[in-house]
Amino acid sequence: MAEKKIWKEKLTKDISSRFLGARGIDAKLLWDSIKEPGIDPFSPENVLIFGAGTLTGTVAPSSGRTTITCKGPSTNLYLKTNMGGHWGAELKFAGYDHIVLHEASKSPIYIWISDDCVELRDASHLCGLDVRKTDEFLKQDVGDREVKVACVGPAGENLVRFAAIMSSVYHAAGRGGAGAVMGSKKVKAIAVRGTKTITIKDPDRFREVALSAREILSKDSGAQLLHRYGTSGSIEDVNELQALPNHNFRSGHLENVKPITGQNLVEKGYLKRRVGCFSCTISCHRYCSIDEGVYAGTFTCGPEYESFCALGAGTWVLETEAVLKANELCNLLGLDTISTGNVIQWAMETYERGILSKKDTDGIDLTFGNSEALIKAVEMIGHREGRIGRLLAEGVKRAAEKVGKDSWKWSICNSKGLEQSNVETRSAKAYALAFAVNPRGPDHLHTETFAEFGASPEAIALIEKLTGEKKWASPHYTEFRPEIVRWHEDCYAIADSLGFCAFTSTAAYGVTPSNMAEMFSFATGIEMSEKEIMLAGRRIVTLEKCFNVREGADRKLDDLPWRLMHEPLAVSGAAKGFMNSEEEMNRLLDKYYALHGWDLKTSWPYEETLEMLDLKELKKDLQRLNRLPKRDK
Amino acid sequence: MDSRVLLLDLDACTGCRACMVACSLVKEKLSSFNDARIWVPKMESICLNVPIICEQCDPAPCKTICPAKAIVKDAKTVALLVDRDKCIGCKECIWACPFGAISLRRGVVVKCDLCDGQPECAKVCIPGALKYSDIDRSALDKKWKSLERRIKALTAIL
Repeated sequence: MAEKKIWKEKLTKDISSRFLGARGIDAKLLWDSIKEPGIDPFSPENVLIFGAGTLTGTVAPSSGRTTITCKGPSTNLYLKTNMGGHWGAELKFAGYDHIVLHEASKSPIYIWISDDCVELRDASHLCGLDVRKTDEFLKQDVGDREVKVACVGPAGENLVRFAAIMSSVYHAAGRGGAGAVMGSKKVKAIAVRGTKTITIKDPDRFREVALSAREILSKDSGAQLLHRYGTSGSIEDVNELQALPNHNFRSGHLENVKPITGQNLVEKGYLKRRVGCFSCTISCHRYCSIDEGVYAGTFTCGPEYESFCALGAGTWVLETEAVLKANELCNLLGLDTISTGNVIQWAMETYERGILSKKDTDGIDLTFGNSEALIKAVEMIGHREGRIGRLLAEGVKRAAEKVGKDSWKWSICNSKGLEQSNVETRSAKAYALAFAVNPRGPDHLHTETFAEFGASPEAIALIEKLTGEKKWASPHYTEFRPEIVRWHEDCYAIADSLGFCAFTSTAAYGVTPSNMAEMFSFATGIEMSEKEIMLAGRRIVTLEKCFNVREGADRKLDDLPWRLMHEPLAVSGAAKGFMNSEEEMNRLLDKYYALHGWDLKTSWPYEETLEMLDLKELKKDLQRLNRLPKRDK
Repeated sequence: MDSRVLLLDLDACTGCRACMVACSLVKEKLSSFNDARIWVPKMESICLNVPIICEQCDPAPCKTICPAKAIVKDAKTVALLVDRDKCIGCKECIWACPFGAISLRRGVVVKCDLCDGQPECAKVCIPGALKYSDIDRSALDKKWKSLERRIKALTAIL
């Protein structure tokens, strides 16, 4: 970026067969590009890597996803964040799998890719524009409505530590602040137009497997629900399970949850259209608008389950329209709704406890349930405006450190520093383990053991396949959790790498390691069995772990937010006494590390494990740092 | 004669474009937008998607205008087919088509041929926006209604 130099490289067969695609190859490129641990994520030494799935741009079901990878600004560790929409497919049609941004530009630019032509263009006229306007202006700039844009909004430009990269206007690569890294490189957008073709090695057999997977997904009960009511269609059920985090994780149940559900969006006419990412069989995305009242003129996609929880349930703003408005603002400013809601909840509790005063909040009455305060706070965070905007834009971990007192105890992030997504881990033990070990911080997108909440027949059947018995699908058991988590990790790593949506292999069950191996083989011509592709998944997970190890992470960072370890979910009622404990977590972690072949004390992978996984190139750096333990003989 | 037609339900279209890549895969054995006989323009800011398919018109402007008589009606499906040997690539049909459903590929025009009665696009359309079903009065009504709405929506986009 600094020297405005553009070059193209061909992916080798070795890289493609070991790391599959998007997420896997991104991780490999990240490991190779950042040589020294400890760099500031906002420094030019950080790289920002975009990777479209191996099968993105084909008729494989729900295969349009793109992974973005860098060293993350909220954790100073590995970050992969994933987005849907249509940008990845367009990139593939332009003839590219990955884009790596090195160094930082001196002045604001956008990148224009039209097939073979790649240009770095001045973006000073786009500075400060929201996501929707940026998209519109770029389409005008290049004179083509078919252009697909991935861009940052004001939040990314202002280096808000949880800024998102948005594509197709409303699809966010939200978690972890990749948008701020893009902002730090002064890249406002990447606009892509592709008119080439994607070669498929064995088109007839590929078509057969892809169409049969589409058929299975079309009949899946989870997929049908997601299509009808979106991700927020599950909110009522999760609330019934006493597992809907609200009031900054002080409760798992709400009396009046209806206004913030997907069903309500449909019944009250807010839902205007169901929207699909590229080649999606599910189409869980929603386009909603408000036609009358104070918020008339609001139109955006969402709210998703997570957005309704973070901005609505968590802040106790149980009003459809106010949450829709806050969601629209997040989308326009380019903010991750999960982290935005999370920091606002923390600020509300801190304000309630008298640790933040009106002086600190620039006069905003930050009480739970105050919808105006919610909306004002979102705006101020996105623009880093005022004392409260500047404080919260740093993310909940840094904000709690700055405010001090005991405020870290109700900051819902773990030692890694990422704001947790809205899943109740006190009553779902595979989630508890998965959240603790997730290399980017506590959330559900490295492993989602959906059986623990969804309990659809397909979800339970999978648990039966993995453990031998249906009963282990119950979320309260601690048995078999490490095995279940590790299987899902491997499966997710493959799905993300091939471009599949996580919903196709958990939540809905049509894409499996076996048909992923087939589709990969038939599309690329690289023969891969189910066993080999699962091993590739493990290789990717281990590579990501090793990036964190090189950065200095150890077992201490694999933990859960303090509140979820030390306060029970409820003191009375059905959820009474649900807790996580050190003792239980340690047991789960020991078993999990042992399964992986990682050292129990430090959590670092053994040298033998790296050799077994054909990751020998990692050994040199880890040895130099003395972080490559050998298994005790 | 097959009495089925390709029906489009605009409200059900999610804009996923699986129909486009499915079409290119079955027709040209590869994946691409440009080789598809169907096009789904999108207005991303309001998530509006308006698929453009060949309506297999009768009388058909493309067939009438073709100087080489290269466009013929299939007896079974009533689809309008392009005879690649006769096509001279003059593009008259592209201009004549009121929907923009015909395009030029490697010197000859290509258009939807209803996959000989098993249209691939309808097969992969899980939301059910594209359906290949029996023609009856209500289906016809629906077809015309969707056509009118599409023209209105297209005028708004283009």
